Amino acid sequence: MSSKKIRRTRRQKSAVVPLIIVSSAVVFSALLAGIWQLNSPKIEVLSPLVFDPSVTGEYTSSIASPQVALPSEPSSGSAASSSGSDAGSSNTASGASGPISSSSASEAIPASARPSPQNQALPEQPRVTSSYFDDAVFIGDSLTVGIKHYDVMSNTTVFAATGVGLENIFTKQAIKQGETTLTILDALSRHSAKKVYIMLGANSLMSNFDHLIKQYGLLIDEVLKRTNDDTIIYVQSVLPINEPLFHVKYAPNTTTNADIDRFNEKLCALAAEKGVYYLDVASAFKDENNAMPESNTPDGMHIISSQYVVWFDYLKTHALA
Amino acid sequence: MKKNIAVMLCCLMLFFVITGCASSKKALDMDAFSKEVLSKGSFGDELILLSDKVVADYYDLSFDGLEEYRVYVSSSSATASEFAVFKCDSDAALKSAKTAVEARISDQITNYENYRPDEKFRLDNALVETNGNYLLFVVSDNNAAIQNLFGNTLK
Repeated sequence: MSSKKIRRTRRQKSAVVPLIIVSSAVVFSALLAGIWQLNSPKIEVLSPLVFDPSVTGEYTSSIASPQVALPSEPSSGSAASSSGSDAGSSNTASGASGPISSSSASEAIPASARPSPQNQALPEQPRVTSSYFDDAVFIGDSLTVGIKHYDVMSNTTVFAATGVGLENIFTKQAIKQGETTLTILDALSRHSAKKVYIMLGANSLMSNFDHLIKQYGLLIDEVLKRTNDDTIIYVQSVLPINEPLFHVKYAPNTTTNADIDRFNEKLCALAAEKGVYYLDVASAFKDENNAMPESNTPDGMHIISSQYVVWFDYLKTHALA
Repeated sequence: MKKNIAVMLCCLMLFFVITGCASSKKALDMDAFSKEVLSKGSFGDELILLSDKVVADYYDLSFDGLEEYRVYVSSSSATASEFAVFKCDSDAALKSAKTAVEARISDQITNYENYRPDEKFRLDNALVETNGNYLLFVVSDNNAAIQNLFGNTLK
């Protein structure tokens, strides 16, 4: 072979080597880059929380009994605007004995036909469906925030925030609405609620009760001012605690269930004085020792998911149409 | 010979550039990652996956380029424990997601500062980290473990 031919062959070889290297690098890189992922499945759509239907099952009218009409209230004026002087009326008890039947917001009874608030908890009423809460607003602290987190009543409106208490509810800007953050009361003003549920006090029980009740009274006054005359206002009792857990997690040897009961008694009297309804929600959470069972609370004060169902079950059977 | 070496070096550079890009675009299985985070992190509380509606209440996610997300918070609201992971399709979207997370931290500090000062401390030390197209936000007692998990999963 001539030296010219040998040089040409070498030149050909030297041109092929880089090509092989480049191709190998491309193939290797493509493998590492994960070319197979181009055919990966589409991004999943986020699914909302799903509760066990056996626990959260909708309560519809399974008993075909006629609805028991609430007795009419002789004194005029809405429940929200009626005064404490109506407390002596004797028309609430009869509503308690009615059988369970379906009653929704669409079957509204005139405000004048509602029982007037008494110096006692609203007794059991005919059961309402979930749609009752479509035009309701829940006001409260972290316990009420849980209604939103657990999506247990997704059709309702929750104006609540962690750390809200009777001492700061008038000033704390906690509710985001678009670009602005409002106080709970300002958010309520912008919403045409037909029912308002208030649950507050759990974060403030170490303060003086008389002062707390005075603050609660001011809050109810503000809620009445910012809602329509026919809006039904419910004040919910403070829930019981599990003392051993609560004292470990929060403050040792402080609040007791006896204190909470005393506070709730004062709250019930206040509700009657202001002409709003008091709901003894606490009764649904108490065990035989008048306390929150340890198994129902992670920290002695807040409640686990299944207890929100218990809460709404109580509200559905203690609602005025 | 010199020419061959130069070509080989170019090929090597190309190789590293391509593989480098490839590793930063590794996909994260959101659900599997979330499950692992929940099992490894010390949240001191049961966390719950929020629905889109509630997430929209807490985070301003009204920007383009957010592909996927998961947000878990304290189920009882007793603590500020939280874990969120966002997948974005661009640097701009990633920046917007980071802004939304910072606003969320600020809101939570306002919520907890006078209520549970210990939770405010945890919020002050929240982990916010980006890796490739992903943004991670964690409030837990062991952020370092989750940070390592995030890095290793996307390696």
